[in-house]
Order: sequence, then structure tokens, then C-alpha cells
Amino acid sequence: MPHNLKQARHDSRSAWHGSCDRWHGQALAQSKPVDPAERVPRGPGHVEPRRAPTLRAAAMLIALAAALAGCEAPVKIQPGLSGARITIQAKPKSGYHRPVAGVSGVDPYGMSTPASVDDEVPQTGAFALVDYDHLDDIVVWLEPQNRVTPDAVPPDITLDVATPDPAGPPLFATGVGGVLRVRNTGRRAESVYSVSEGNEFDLGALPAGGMARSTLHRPGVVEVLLDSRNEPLARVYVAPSPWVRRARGGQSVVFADLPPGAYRAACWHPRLPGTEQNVQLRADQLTRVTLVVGVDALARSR
Amino acid sequence: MNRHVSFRRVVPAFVAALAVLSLARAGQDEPAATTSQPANEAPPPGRVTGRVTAEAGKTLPEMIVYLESSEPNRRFPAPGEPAVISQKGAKFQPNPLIICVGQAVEFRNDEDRPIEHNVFSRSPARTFDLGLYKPGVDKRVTFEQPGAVRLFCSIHRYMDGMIFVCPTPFFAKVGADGRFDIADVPPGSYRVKTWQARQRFKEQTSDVEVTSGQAAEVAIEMRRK
Repeated sequence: MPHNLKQARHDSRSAWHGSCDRWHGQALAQSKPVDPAERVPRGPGHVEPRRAPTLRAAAMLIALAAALAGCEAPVKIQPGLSGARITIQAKPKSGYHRPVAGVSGVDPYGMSTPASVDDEVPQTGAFALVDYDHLDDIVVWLEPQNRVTPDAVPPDITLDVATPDPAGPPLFATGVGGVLRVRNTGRRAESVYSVSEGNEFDLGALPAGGMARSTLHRPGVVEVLLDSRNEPLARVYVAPSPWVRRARGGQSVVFADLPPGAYRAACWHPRLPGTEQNVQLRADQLTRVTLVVGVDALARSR
Repeated sequence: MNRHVSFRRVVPAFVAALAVLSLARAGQDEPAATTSQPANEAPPPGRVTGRVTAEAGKTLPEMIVYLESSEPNRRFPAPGEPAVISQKGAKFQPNPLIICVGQAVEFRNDEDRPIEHNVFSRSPARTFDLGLYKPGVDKRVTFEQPGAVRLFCSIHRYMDGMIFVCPTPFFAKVGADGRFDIADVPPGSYRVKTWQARQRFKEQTSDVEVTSGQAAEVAIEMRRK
């Protein structure tokens, strides 16, 4: 299965978790261990404790709505191992008021606020705004603090040399030791290479229908280049850990069956600074972590 | 008339003061200068010229060639005037901007409509966040470390730019024919380096000796490995 398809499926699963967290309106405490009971599904078929009939009906309705909305599945963790659910929040600069057509100058509570200065200009073309509600291309990973990752294999990536993506080079994510495969699905030979420091490779001229591979050895961004194009074929973020996923703002990603211990949860975005956090994963528990992507992560300087 | 009189008085006094100072210096234990050239007069500069080619006749990307002193403690004064980056039309201009270590850059919000920007960088060579600011406001940042600094705006998704902070003031843009010419270089030992705004080849390094009043010719071949 092509990696982008796998990634898309993974993304849809992650969106599923993320929307559920929002739907339940749960406040996600940072690094808060979750009670194992919380892992029990609250969907149809689950036996709830005795409650008043109205409450029970309401609970059933909520569960049904959650199921219809495609919400949270239970996270199964192997006995003795641990897991983490990392939620990503993408935030604009503090103090920034995103303009809303027709209602600028008044917030949802009817309070008067300073109108954004962007209200008078188009928000398309060069003035297109960063969409923090649907911020894409966030890479999130969990890295053991003792740097030991027993038996863990980072995700492989398969790139197709097809027509260029008008939205720009797509982003993929893997960890150190991850394998990059490039398949030439075009009609002519393509020269594929990288000069990104620590991850240099030259796959030579790939004939039409041919495939070649390279292992990525160093954390950082790898630009996969083609002789025939000015823009890179793709960018790959190599995380310092095999436990890595791509995510969007507002989503949650789950890493299950990890050895208990001390970890560093971190995220990266091509433009905006990410944050990191130390977490302690305990056996038989799912730990929740919230990471923020946004410019406020930088120290202010003039 | 009075001004001429006072000038006549001041000049002899100044000459006398200089003579006294010279006598005082002669009385110290410092060895007398033996060179006929005044100490503050630098030897005439040289220049570094050359041509960049790409392996197998490939096209060169937009790039510069710059010099880095082989003497680690050698410093060169940065231009006193700041460079200016415009943000008009939600675009950083010029892009890329090449400056020298120690030089300041003024980030000017010169939009002609009420558009605010939030310029920031998280590059290791310089991390900063200028905050939200409106047209008519300039903010200044000084760059003390060499390297590439990527610029972004946290509001506008396509607004990005690049500053390359050169370790010396000696750099030149490579022309379409691959030629470059770095003038006014003080004599000494240097490393010649390349920098590509959008990297297509491995950056190359070679050594050059610049002698007074001479042009040193350097040939650089850009390769993938």
C-alpha cells in the first residue's frame, strides 16, 4: 500500500480521535495519566452502572451520537506496556484577532473588541491566512529519554515520481533508520537524489517503472530532489525516534505498546515552532499529553 | 576676519600640543617605529574572482560565493547602516537578503493598507519574534551569528523569506554565466564558500590567498557529493 494512502488512513483515524476529544468537551490535562476504566468504550453494548432512566437514555443518546460521529475507539495496551495520546493544539500569536466576515469588532459574547486590521483587505493569494483550525503537516513523536528503542521500526515511506503537486512538495514523516523508497511511475528515467546534510543519497537515473531505496540516518528535514524539477519531489521529516506520526492541529495521535519509562514528546511544523514535553509513561496506562504549535513558543526578541 | 585670527592662534597651539605628545611618547620604553608606512594605512586590497560550474553541465541555482577568514579571530567591521526588508504585499523583499555578521536589518511594515504582520524566525543562527505590528512601524534585529535565517509571518501562510548572514562583508552573487567577483578584500588567507538559496548541490569550500593589489582566480565545481 502506498505510504501516502497509509498516512491518509492514519490521518482519518487520528481525526476521529481528535474530534471525539472535542465532542466530549474534555479538558485535556497535560501529562495526565488516564484511569484504565476510561479506556472502556462508551458506545452501544457497553454496560453502564445503574442510573435514573432519563440519565441512562441521555447517556445512550450521547454514545449513539458519538458512534455516529465516528468517535473514540478504545486504546488497547498490551499488559505491562504503556501508551500515550498526544493532542496537538495549533495557536495563532497571542493578541491576534482573526477577521470574521461581517462580525469583526464584536466577539461571540457581544463584547466590543478592536477590529482586526486585516478586515479591509482580501485574504486570498499572497494574503491567505494561516489556518490554525486545520493546520496540516505537523509531525509528532515520542522519544525515550534513555534513547533505547527496542524492536521499534520507524515507518517506511514510498514516493511516486508522478506529476508535481500544485500545493507544493508533500511532507512525510519517519524516524532515524526509516527507509525511503522512490518509485518511478512516469514514462521517462528520473534522476533522484538528496543533498540534505547527513542524509545525502543519489539513486541514479531510475528507469520508468523502476524503484530504488535509501535509509535515512540523521534527524532533520530531507529534500528529495529530481534533476527534472526545480521544486523538490517531497520533503521528509526524520524524527529522532521510531515512534512518529503526522498530524493536524486539533487531532490526537496514539502511541500504544511502548515500554514504560521517561519519554520526550515533541512536535515539529515546517513554518511554526513546536513544543516538547517530558512525560513518564506507566505500565498499563494511557498518558495524555498536549503539545502546542505556534509562534508564542519562541522567546520574544526585538 | 576674526575667524582667521582665531584660526591662526589655534593651529600653532595644536601643533605645539602634538609636539609635546610626541616627546612624551618618545620618553617611554616602547621601541621606535621602524616602518616608513603609517600604522593606520592598510595595504591596498585584492580581489577574488572566478567561475562556478555545475557537474554534467547542469543549471546553477541562485547562489552566492563568500569568503571566510582562515584566521579564526580576524574580524571585519559590518556596515553601519541597517539593511531593509520590505513586507509590502505580504512578501519579504529582497529575498534572499545577504548581510554581514554584526549588521542590523530593519523589518519595515510598509503595507499601504491596514495589514499587520508578525515576523519571526526559529533558525539556529537567529531566533526572534517581532510580535504583531502595523504599517508605519519598523523593527530592527542585529545578526551576530553567521548562517541562514528563514523568515516567516505567523499570519500569512505564504509569506516567507531568507537572510544569509555572511561571516565577512566579502561576498558576491554568482551571475547567470557562473562568474563572480569579490572586490576590496584585505590581504590574507581565506576559505571560499558557496551558499545556495534553494540547495541543489553540496556546498563547496576551497582555500585562497589574497595578496595586495592582486586578483586571485578560483574555479568552483558544484557537485552532489
